[in-house]
Amino acid sequence: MNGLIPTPDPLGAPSPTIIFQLLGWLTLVLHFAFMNFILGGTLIVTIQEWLFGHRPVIARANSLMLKTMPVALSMAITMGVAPLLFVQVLHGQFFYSANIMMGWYWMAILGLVTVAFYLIYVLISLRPLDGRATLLSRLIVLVNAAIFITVSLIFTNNATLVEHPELWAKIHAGELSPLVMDTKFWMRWSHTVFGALAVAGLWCSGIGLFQKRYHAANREAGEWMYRNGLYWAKSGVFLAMIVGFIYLFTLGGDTLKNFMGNGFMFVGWAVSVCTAFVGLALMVMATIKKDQPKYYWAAVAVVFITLFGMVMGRDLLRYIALEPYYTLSDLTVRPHVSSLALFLGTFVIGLLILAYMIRLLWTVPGDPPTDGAPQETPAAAGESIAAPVEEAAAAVPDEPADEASKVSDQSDDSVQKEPDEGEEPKPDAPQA
Amino acid sequence: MPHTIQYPIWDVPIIGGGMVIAIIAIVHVTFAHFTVGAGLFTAWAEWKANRKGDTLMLKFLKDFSRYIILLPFIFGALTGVGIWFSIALVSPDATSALIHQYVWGWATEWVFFIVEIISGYIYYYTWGKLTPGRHNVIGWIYAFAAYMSLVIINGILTFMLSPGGWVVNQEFWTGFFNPTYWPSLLLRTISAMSLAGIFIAVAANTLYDYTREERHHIITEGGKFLIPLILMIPASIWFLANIPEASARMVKGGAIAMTLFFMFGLAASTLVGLYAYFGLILKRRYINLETALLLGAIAFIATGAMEFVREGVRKPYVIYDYMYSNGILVKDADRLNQEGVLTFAPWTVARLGANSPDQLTHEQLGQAVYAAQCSRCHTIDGVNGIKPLIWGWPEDSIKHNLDTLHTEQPYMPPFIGTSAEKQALADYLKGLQDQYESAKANSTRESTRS
Ligand code: HEC
Repeated sequence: MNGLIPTPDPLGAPSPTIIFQLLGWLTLVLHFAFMNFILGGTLIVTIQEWLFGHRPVIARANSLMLKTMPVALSMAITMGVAPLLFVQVLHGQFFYSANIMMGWYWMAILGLVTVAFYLIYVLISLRPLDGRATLLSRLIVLVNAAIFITVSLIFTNNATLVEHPELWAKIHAGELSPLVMDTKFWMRWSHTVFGALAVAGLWCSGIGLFQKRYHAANREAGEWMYRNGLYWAKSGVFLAMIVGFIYLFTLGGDTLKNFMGNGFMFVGWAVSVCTAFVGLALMVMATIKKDQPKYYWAAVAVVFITLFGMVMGRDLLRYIALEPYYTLSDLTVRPHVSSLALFLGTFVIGLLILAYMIRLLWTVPGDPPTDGAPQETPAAAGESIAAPVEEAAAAVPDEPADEASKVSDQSDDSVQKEPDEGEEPKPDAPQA
Repeated sequence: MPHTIQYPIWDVPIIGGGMVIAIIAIVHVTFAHFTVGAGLFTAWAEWKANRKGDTLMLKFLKDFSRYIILLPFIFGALTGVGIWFSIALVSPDATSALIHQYVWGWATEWVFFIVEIISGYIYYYTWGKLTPGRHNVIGWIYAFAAYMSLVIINGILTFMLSPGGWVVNQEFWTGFFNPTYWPSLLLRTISAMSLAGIFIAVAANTLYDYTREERHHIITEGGKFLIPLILMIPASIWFLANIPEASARMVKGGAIAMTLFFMFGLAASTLVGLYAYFGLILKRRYINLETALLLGAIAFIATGAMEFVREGVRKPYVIYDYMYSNGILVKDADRLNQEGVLTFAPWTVARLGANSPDQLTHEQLGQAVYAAQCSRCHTIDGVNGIKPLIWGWPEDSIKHNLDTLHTEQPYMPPFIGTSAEKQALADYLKGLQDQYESAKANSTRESTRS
């Protein structure tokens, strides 16, 4: 068997492996934050459209969820690139081999996600802001849910194959299907799907909060989303915990012993199990004290920590499984400082640019805060997250071109008076 | 132990793995270049329109920025990931080398990519909500980030063709700022701008709430981005002067397919540039939708042709002078010639159900050698199919061909392996040829009978 495992790349790694691991965990968590919203959120919308779509408030909530998805999916893809990179540095030989075993199944991810992406736009343009979705659009939601579930199965399968080189020879000789799909596989997969529901539930609540606060017309839907999102989040965390524990104990005594015997990563994981309980408690609190979003924000923070710990624990389990064949110390390190500096420097500049842009966004006026009286202007209908479809663009009443022309002779924009600068509500809730 | 041919093999019948990569890559490169050019155009045109009070252009840019988001973001991002996925399946060893040498380069590009995506969305959603000057700043951020991702990726792509001193010192910057870095950056910038220019003409024609006059104005502005195409010829000469000697020979007639593709790509680009200058700028002609689409198709084909040449003239290497296209490291060739290629290609043996090469039959041996050395570029009977290629060859030409693989066809690496392996491969190929011929004979018989 050992002869079949490719050796680590002779070019080695340009920095100590721990740097790649740390960045890998961090970026993977960011990827999960968005990806979970896409997977879990699509499932939530599907269930809501089919079962409760006749209730106006839910119909609007579904529209609002859908409108955030194009940006969220872009972010999920973008954030996925970095961990993809670091995985290849750290254990590319296992990753590539697993990819090759899967072949077209692996390639299928791209086609599936592309189709799903454009279907989201179709959905947004088909779906009126209010009212029951048509059968066609309900069917499309269902198709998208099926697509994202399939993609998640493919990813879980690949991750499973990475850890089981002993299966490769049979698969490559055509004696075994590359789709593993044993009990452990299903547990691992359902653990992640429940987790995704939890994260998506939190997003749903967050979008609800945002709408409630900044878009008076969506207040009712926003409130419903806030409560309902918490409900999904609680159920998701609860189910994920149950499945997670069963999964852990099916791994077998030796793995478990190695797992627990491993210092800092295990501690990190264990802490995150505790934070999962804390998160659950905070969500319950947020549900009880409906008008105190601080519990909600605390739950978000704690779930973030939990995700981080889970990612770390999962990474540790992988290297335990690979121990007979490979440890990270087998990878030669040829330190190259200036290229690391290039990255870190760019990273800092990138963060500064992002901070600058977000600061500019603060100057964007939202809806004037009204007390209750719903304002039925199209511009109020969640257009800060409106999707780039004809209707949405056409619905915006003010032509920017006109406004721009009024001030166009003022090339020095520092002279330009900002409308209500500083007093405006800040869009600090999720933009995506 | 040599680090070569260690990976399992992804079998793609008929079209071959290389073609899968090529299809995804050409679409990706076109979209990615367009994004870069479109970013530059949008920022520049908005700046100019703000100064001149050109409300029409601002209206168009607002509409146009929707195209930037819908098309290239998703298509560009997904095909980009698609290239990663497909090269990892076809050439895992080369992918691994690119990652391990340039991981911080890729990571840097990723940062620019994030800035590009986020600024793109902000740009689109804040039309009319920020002051014109500030909105334009976002546009410039977008343009800058998009262009910087080209600046980075260009270093890694050109590295594969002309690593220069890297082969000796294996140092990041030596490979990055390699002999073709600057000419290639110029070529790609030209191509990015021109793709944007053409697509602006397409976009102006597909937005229905503009009068013909208004469209004309926009098309003329976009047409200015086509003018740099006139530099295509000198830039290409500069590029050619810096590629490895053997690659230059291929372009200059050594491999007729490369020469033709190169000439076509160059001619098409230059003609579009001349058309833009004389037709759009001097004579202020109008382009309708059909013509714009036709220009777009020409540009797509030209981009594809140039990328095809870039990939083609790099053969027989995937990283010049370091790794052959089949994954064998140049420095390992001598050792493999002595100890046999299959000793170090465990998967080709394993997938025939054996544990070591000496458990294989003579025919299987040939099959395994083929899988290890030839299968990445050849299919059995599809694209670059080995059966049709050797159709009608007498037995000793096959053998002779294996001796001179690299001298007869500039695309191919030399045969690497022991003489027993070479014989087994020759016999295997002869066997394939017999199958092919008897199949042909059968089908002719069938058709004469009916
Ligand atoms: C780097 C990619 C690559 C590899 C590896 C490769 N070939 Fe080729 N081969 C080519 C290309 C490209 C051609 C040109 C086809 C054409 O001219 O239409 C070719 C042509 C041929 C021809 C026809 C030559 C002629 O003179 O017409 C034969 C026979 C052949 N290859 C056999 C092999 C064998 C056997 C191997 C494995 C030992 C191999 N090739 C490995 C790319 C490759």
